Amino acid sequence: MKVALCQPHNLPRLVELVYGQELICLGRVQELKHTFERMRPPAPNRWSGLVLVHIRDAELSFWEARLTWLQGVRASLEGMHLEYERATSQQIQAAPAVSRQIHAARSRVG
Amino acid sequence: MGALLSLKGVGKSYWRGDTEVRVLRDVTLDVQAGELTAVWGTRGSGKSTLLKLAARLETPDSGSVCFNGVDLASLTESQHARMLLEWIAWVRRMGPKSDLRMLDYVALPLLAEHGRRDAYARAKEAIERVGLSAQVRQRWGSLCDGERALIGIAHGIARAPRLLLVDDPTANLDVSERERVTELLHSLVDEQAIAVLMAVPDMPAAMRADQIFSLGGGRLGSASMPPAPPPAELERGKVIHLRGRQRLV
Repeated sequence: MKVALCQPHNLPRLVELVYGQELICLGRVQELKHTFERMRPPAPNRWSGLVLVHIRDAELSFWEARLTWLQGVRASLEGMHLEYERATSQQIQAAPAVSRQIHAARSRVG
Repeated sequence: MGALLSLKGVGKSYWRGDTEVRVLRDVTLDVQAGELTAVWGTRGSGKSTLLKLAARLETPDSGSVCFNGVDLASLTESQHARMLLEWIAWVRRMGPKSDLRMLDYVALPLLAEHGRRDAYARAKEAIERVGLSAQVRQRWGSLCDGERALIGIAHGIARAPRLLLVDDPTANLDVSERERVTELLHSLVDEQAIAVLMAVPDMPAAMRADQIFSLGGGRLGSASMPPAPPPAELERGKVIHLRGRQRLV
């Protein structure tokens, strides 16, 4: 929802929010790591050990997929922001002096 | 104790046609001796570039890379070559081009530095350490993927480096082979107090690491890094006022 309804000038803040979510996912990965380290069997190649590894991997795939998705969203938002900045600077250069002053005044207010 | 490898504010970009791709942006990373550090990221996220910068096989556009307190940019070519020969080892995914026996392959880089007998003794020891004593006389083509990964590590540790750079050591491996490889790296770090910086495209391969980082969109993230506090007005679907208009975000 935040992504769908945000305005171009909100993009940098949104990028930081997405990045924050990425770090949260990474935190979950660390938690999983510690949990499984505590219950880690000595021989991961034995059946009981391998089953635990599979369970851990199943949990991890969830967070990994989410991280991948978030990174994709962030890259896309950053791309949109760059595009917006480029378009804005072109508009400003093309605009007459009075419009430029108005734009600058608006930027200061906004 | 200072970090063995330290990247500070490292940036690196490539040009793809007219577009600048910022692979790494302001990346800061410390790798300590006796620590296994994993960098997870999808394909093309810049993991291999990070490893290359750590060995100065590429130069950063900004920031600095220090090994044992020495800025790599300050080294002459011969000092750099010496450093790569003695202190930093790169674990390769590719095997020998020629049809060498594994013992010869691992011993080859040691021959110039040590005598033939010593080089072969060290190579044999490294191969034994990775648990492939039975394969010393085999050739690359006859090894399975898991054994190739282990031979790659043996090739890396034979020179007793202080830093091991490992690029995707578990590619194409099944679960038990992957666990064997990551367990080996973990035990090497414990026993020999070397530092390992490992790039992995799948999270399970990073699970034995002491530090896990994610790399994406040029940014290196760590679970220990607190996320920047989200701007209050964007936090929980609040209505915010933007230039006189209301928006639900």
